[in-house]
Amino acid sequence: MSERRVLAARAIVALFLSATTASAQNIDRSKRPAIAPPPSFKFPKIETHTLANGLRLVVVEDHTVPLIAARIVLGVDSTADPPGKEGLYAVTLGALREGTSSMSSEQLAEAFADVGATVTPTGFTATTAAFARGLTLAGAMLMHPRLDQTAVDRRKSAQAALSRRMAQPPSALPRHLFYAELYGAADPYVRSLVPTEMSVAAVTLDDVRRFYEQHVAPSTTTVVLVGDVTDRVALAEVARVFGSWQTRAAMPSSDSTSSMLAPRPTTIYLADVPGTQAYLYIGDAGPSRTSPDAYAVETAAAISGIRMQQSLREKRSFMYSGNAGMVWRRAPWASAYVGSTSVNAAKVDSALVEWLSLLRGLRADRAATPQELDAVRRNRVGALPARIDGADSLAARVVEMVRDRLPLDYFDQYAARMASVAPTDVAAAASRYIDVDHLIIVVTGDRATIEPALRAANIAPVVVVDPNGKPIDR
Amino acid sequence: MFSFVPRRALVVVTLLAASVRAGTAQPDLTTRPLVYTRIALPNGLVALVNEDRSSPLVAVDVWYHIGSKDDKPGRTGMAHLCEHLFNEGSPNLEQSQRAFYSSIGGTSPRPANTTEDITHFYIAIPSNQLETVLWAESDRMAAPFARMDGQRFVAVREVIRQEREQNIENVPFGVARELAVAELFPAGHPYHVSQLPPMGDVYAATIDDLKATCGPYYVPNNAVLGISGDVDPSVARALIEKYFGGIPRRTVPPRPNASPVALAAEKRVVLEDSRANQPRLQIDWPVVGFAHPDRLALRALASALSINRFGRLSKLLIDDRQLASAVNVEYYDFEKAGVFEILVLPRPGASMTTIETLVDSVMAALPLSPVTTRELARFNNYNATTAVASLETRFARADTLAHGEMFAGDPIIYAKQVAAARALTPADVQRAIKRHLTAGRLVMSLVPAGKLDLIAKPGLPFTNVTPPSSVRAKVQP
Repeated sequence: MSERRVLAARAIVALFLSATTASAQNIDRSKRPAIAPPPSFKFPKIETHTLANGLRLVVVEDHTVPLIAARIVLGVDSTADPPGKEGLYAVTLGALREGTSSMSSEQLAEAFADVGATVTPTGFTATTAAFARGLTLAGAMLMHPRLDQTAVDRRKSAQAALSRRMAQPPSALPRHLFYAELYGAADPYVRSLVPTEMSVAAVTLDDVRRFYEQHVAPSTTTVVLVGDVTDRVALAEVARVFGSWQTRAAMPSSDSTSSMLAPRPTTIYLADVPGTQAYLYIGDAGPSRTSPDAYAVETAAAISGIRMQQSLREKRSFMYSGNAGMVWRRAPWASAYVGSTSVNAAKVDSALVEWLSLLRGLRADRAATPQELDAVRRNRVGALPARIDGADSLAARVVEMVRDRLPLDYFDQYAARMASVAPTDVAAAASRYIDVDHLIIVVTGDRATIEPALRAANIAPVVVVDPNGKPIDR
Repeated sequence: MFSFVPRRALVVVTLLAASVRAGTAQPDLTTRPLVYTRIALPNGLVALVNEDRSSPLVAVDVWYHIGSKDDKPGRTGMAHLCEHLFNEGSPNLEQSQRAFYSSIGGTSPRPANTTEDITHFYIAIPSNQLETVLWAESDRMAAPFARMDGQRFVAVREVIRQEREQNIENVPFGVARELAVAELFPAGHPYHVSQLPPMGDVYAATIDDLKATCGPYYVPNNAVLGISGDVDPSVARALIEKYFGGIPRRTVPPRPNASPVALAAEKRVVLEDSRANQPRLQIDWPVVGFAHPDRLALRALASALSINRFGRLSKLLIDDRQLASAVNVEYYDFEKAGVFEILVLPRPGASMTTIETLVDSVMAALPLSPVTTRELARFNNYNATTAVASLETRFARADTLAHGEMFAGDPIIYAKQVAAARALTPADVQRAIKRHLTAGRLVMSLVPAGKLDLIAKPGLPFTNVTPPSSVRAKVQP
């Protein structure tokens, strides 16, 4: 906060207080207090460097707390898993943690205890004093991993257990069915959502070694350092740890692999899951995050979220919690508008009717009001300081920019872009990207309760599917 | 598993080593508590203000000393119901606080939370809106539940029913927590019932009941206001006096006796769930709470048993014997009592009987091979980092100060506890084990519905505590 702004704010408050403190016993709360204008948002200064071997460094200083968040963004993620070996990325990353050329996994763990933080090859958060030791360990795991059979077996076992656990919550099935209908079951992003015990079992030591050789290299790696470290020290430390990493050709991550199914007329996919609660997913494919339409559709999606709260929770009591908003993937991949909630199985038809009606309203008869637009701006832009509160949050935003290939002034531009969205833009974005005539709707719940009501309500064609998304003949 | 987040002892560590150097020895650490201004109004309201002007953001966290332990028998779920009702607007605010705060740039992981001991309402907001938030919070404190009518009441009840279905009944083993405390604490004990129990009593309640039951707790002398961020403490003081100063003090109902309890003997129960695809073994002891001097020893023990790679249980069960995919040991410190819990997720095919036997062998070996100074050092090292990281955000700082004030009358008790943790000796931990982790414990076998062949030590007598909601779904053939 600038000195001038502090003084101005104090002056306003002081004036206001002098007029009212005397009557503190009987203050009139019928009028909302007058407030100062909103503070303008400025993302902290970002410094970037590139080492001779191509490794990139991004630094943001924040000396509030003696803590440094280190994040190492690789040029690969789970969407590079080959078909039938989903989980390879996760197993490889895990195997890197199982020992280096000079340290066993036990010695590594003992070293983490000295750092006071669990260090991984993709990052850690440590106190200022322990940071350099943490970076040394992260670098050793990333550049000189042991990658032997024991390491791979141990991580496969852990990953298989995790896959089994992740399939358990009742929200897992509708989510997967939804994305499979939206992007196609063969889409690498969709496949990466659910490594199965079988696909993890298919991963071999050779796969892991090859995956590592092909995808992990300095030229596709970005180190993000945020917190109580100066730019100068950050550069020196990263050069010390990573400067000797041999350049080698890494496979660039593929952008063209994500498919998208052609839009189909709105259809409800219903999977039978016994129980009183049902899960609902509603969505549509959206623009890439770097598209000029991104801000209008984000606004439209946020307004749908506000209306969803008002209607499905506050007015009708159908839901306890629900979300609606854009799910961004890294550019240039298509995003998705996704709304999800859980309601009583007997209320699925009523909830869907209500929900679709509010989505329909977005594009025409109940277009965004100035109050709604204002609320969304205040919420999205006003929330930015909270989204960078603390080194870990700040690092998460920087990683978001690096991973999604956004310009590093993205958040500084964001406020202005959101402010320029007009009601007509919202309606246009809603009719294009939240298109009520071409939605994917997934319902999981008790078929006997839900199906007759859904068919009677005649909202859209109903296709009953099995847990793999395959239609079941009636 | 318990959803209550165990409170880590928090501390800001001042690092005396000024520059970052590779390979230095362990740095000297001194604890520097958060700097705060304590404001006590004549009506009993206490506010704690931590100033941080580094960005234009302020967190406001209003704590009321009412939790599920204040629910009376036959009136379960009231504290949580009141939390929802308190969020439904106030005399001069015609919408829910949740929607209002969102519209002025507020963010919050949740609008509010009710625990065993407290209810709090929190928001992080652009600092130009601080006065608006204090206005809104004082408006609802001055006239709690003023906007409640029959229609809103019914709507809130239905939302709570959804919350229970979504977060407890429809989650694999989601009822394990409420079943565990029901076994650990006897009927009538304030911790016997959890904060979101089955809906019976909630449906029986009327609006007048609620105003009479909860109203007396929503008063300034039962509240603590935590504020952290972009505000001058003197400005905060003036605003707090202006908005909250005129709200009268009222008599708060007497606190229930929630002293720690002990089980006379081991209890064994089984919970089946048709949503689960793998079993779990959960072992719980009823232990002491936040204020007890053995709290730190119990936390250090949890670390020694489950810390990554070295935990005595995690090393044996995950690494050496490969019987488990995860081992979690937690100490849940409520205000007046607590629960010490060992949770093991077996690998497919692993015997829970074998796992229980191995857990018992590790616990039985503790007197002969006590927790070592190296194990305590690992605990303290992780603790120091967690402590700094835990106070990164303004919300966490406001929360920490309010918690210390309400539970101990000392906003920075966390710093003193970190210092005390550094002084822990193996003998301290040993004494705590002997006192609290006795034969009187609860062993829960959590299994997929119908899989009673998976339970631990099936030859011993057990009670099947499976509620209808856990097997209401048909078991898939």
